[in-house]
Amino acid sequence: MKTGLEVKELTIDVHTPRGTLTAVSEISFDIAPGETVCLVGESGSGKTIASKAIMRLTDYENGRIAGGHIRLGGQSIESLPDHLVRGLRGRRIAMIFQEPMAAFDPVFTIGSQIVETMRAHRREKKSVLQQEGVELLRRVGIPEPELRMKQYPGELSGGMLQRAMIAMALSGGPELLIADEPTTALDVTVQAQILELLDELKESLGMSILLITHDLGVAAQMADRIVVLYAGRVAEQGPAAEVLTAPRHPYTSGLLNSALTQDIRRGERLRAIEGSPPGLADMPGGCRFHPRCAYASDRCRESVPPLSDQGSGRLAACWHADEAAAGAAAASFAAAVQPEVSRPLLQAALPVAAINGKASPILLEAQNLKKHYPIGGGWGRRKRVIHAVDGVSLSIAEGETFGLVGESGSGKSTLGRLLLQLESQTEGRVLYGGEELSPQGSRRWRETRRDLQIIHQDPYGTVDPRWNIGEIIAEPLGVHTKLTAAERRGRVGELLEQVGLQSSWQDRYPHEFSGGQRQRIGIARAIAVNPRFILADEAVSALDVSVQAQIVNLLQDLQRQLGLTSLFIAHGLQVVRHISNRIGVMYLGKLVEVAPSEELFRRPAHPYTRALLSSIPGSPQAGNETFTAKGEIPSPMNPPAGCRFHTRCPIATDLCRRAEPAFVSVGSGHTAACHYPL
Amino acid sequence: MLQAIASRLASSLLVIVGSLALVFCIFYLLPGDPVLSMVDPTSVSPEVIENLREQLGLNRPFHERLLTYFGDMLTGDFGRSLVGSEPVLPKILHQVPATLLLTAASSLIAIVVGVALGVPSAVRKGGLIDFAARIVGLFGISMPTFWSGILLILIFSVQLKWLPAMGSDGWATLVMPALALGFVGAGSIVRMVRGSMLEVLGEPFVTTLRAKGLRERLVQYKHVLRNALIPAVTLIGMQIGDMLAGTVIIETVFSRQGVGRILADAIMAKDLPVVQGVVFFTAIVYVGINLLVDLSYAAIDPRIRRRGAGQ
Repeated sequence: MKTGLEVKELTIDVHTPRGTLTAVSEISFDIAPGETVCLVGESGSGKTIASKAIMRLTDYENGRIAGGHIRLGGQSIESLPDHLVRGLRGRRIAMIFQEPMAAFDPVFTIGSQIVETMRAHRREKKSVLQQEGVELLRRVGIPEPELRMKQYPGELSGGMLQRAMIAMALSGGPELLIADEPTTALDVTVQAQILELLDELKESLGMSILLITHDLGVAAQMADRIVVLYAGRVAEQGPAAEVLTAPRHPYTSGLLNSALTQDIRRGERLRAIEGSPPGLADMPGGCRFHPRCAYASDRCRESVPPLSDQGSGRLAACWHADEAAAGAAAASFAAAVQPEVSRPLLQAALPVAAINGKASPILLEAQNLKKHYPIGGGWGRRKRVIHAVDGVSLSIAEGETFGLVGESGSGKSTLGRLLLQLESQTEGRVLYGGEELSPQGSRRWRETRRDLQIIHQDPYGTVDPRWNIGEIIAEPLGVHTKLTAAERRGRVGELLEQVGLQSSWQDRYPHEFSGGQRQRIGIARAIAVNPRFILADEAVSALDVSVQAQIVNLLQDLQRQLGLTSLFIAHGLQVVRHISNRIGVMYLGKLVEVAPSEELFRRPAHPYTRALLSSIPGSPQAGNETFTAKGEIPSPMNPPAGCRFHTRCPIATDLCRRAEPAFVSVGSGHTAACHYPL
Repeated sequence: MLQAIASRLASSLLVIVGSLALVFCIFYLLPGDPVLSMVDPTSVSPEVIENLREQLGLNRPFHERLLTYFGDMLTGDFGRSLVGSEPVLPKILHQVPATLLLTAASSLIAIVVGVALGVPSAVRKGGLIDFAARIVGLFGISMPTFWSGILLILIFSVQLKWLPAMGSDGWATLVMPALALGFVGAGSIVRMVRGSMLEVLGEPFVTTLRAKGLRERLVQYKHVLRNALIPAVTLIGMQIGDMLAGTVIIETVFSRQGVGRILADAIMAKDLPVVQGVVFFTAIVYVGINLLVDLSYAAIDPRIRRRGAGQ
């Protein structure tokens, strides 16, 4: 009799230079055969190490199972001898990983890696296994499987590799598939395809899936049941629909409030959770969530709440579960009864020009911008060109927030850098306040640096770790102002408080801060010299959900207070929608649609935009088969002729293959480059 | 691929011509007169010395000498030794096998010891083998060959009387020079393999391999080592070159026949044609090793192979 997976009071220690720390404390959950369970949590929640422990992969790292049981079909795994555990891996339990590009050995072919997996568990002629491998690749929807078998991982796209990884995982006919953030590194349209594949395979093969994710949308779409982890403990678990609609733990409702969904009105402040998840070395006592919790009482500070039955198969570890549940219900009721779109919000959705009644001046304008990167060349090799940005014109009005979305390889970051003239274009012009931005390095160019600032994606990689944050934030002041050292220190103090840090922290170093705090430091540096324009390039993408909400709020507040104009680049559509007045959609170096934020989401005119929107997990359009993009974004080395989207477009015709569509107006301030706008 | 090899060979030719020209210039600028080291000026009349200069072309201008020199070399004429007046080419060719044998033997020792210690020391970081590997690494790179050579002679020839201290006949004479020379290479290779293995062991794909249920041996040797060898191969190539250069010292220490020994003697005697001949030989071997390194890259890493073929 199969009973699926049973995890009971699992505790995992990790050995670090600072001593032994407990990464996961007494977590319990079950997965029935054919069931999908999602482990949801932020960084440091222990979700990845817990999933690795199920296959005893922690043996090879610094982790050690310190207590509890793991049983698969009644068989204990935690005390199994090594060679028997190895027999389990890849056969009864298989695993797929976050970055498919890094999860294959780059020097062996896909085929040999799949065949190798099968040979680890059974004796069979190589030619038979080879044929089986081809069938598996075909099964997971990989075109030309015979050819793919002979290819190396570097020659396949991320989406194809993740499919191949799934095929490899299926080769042993596993009872349980562990998927650790399987779509986090993929584009949203590809993510939708992979999730759909996983669901279909589960149905037809009857295996269980343990899906680890930080994305509540993914969990909502995939999970039968959800286990919410916080700081190495289970906060709450239960049937997915109930946990997501009526959370009983304050952390779960905090996460739900932080996640941007279509239901949240644009521009509204997000109800973010204060602070950030604790590190392993400084776990708070009592309930680990209490320092960030609105309901925290003395009891929470003193004793650990047990995971207790909340009825109808639900468990929560909270002393104040009833209050939390009531609070969450009240909040969602309040949101539901608010009028559909209130008037000031409607205005916020329109370009600034429309609000003031008079046209507000254009601050930054791109005219037919192109950036081509030559690659290859040299001894007898063909020289090729990457068309990163290929003829983009757009203008950003003073005070406006312009959002730029698109999949990786669409050229959105390059466009941002061109607008700031951090890179020089191959063709076209950039106008700043009506004047052409001078070539890089000139005196005029250096003066404009003061007005044009940037916030980067990786807050740690963009500061010098040997400088304290006072020096980091004061550096632009030293370049652009004549403030004395004392005045600079005063200004840095102001800035720190403005971004929600303490002014007395100037002498601390970047490594002493959490990811969210570092991003605040990056923001303080960007606004230090009172810029007029800020480029935020994936500024919140690397942050945990609960922290992301705080930073989004901060950015919006600052924008309002300082009257900033900004370009907000992100691949997360909901974030862009929330923060921008207008949104531009990029595809393969081209702008394909520009529209006011709400309008774009309500009435997308370009099939690509439509496909992007329907790929958002948990969105109303999700799973709508009529508007998904087929395949993956082609190489910018030789973009398709005609409309660049025609290779993936569900409504493409001969005309699309031949002629490049021009921008047509489809509404007020709404344009799309499509022959057949929707 | 062939095109890539052709372009490598073309640049190799430049390396050889360049190194020959460099040696020529160094000798041209060097103080001292080679003729005076050939004959005893106190017993020979100045006319004879002048004649000898004339004969050897030493009194002609720089560019003329350089051109004649390269012209002769193109026709395969490497000239005659200033000391024994025997033709240079046969003199060197006669010694080449002995030196190549020594270089090959010490390279083999360096690679085998380097990999055999480097892999387990990375896998069991902090263990006993790791400790041994670090000792080898430390001693290998900090002990000069003439010192370790003499040490070996003291232990195995003088004390234990197991091996002959000098000569170049038979396998027994090869053991100690190859060990002394190979140890240096082994030191660097151990460190490189260890570091590079540790890096690859941290790659996500290693977790995939283990999650597939592969045997640990297969994970370590088939997958991790192969990836780790890519940076290590460059170093191994350089180490072989160094060992070739090291024969100059080690052949002298162990009184072995060989090209290195000839070079040492020729430098002392300012015997330009011989030195140039040896440099020519060394440059060719060096270039050959580099070509092998490039080819083995392609063998190990398909990404390089495909790129080389122009996709």
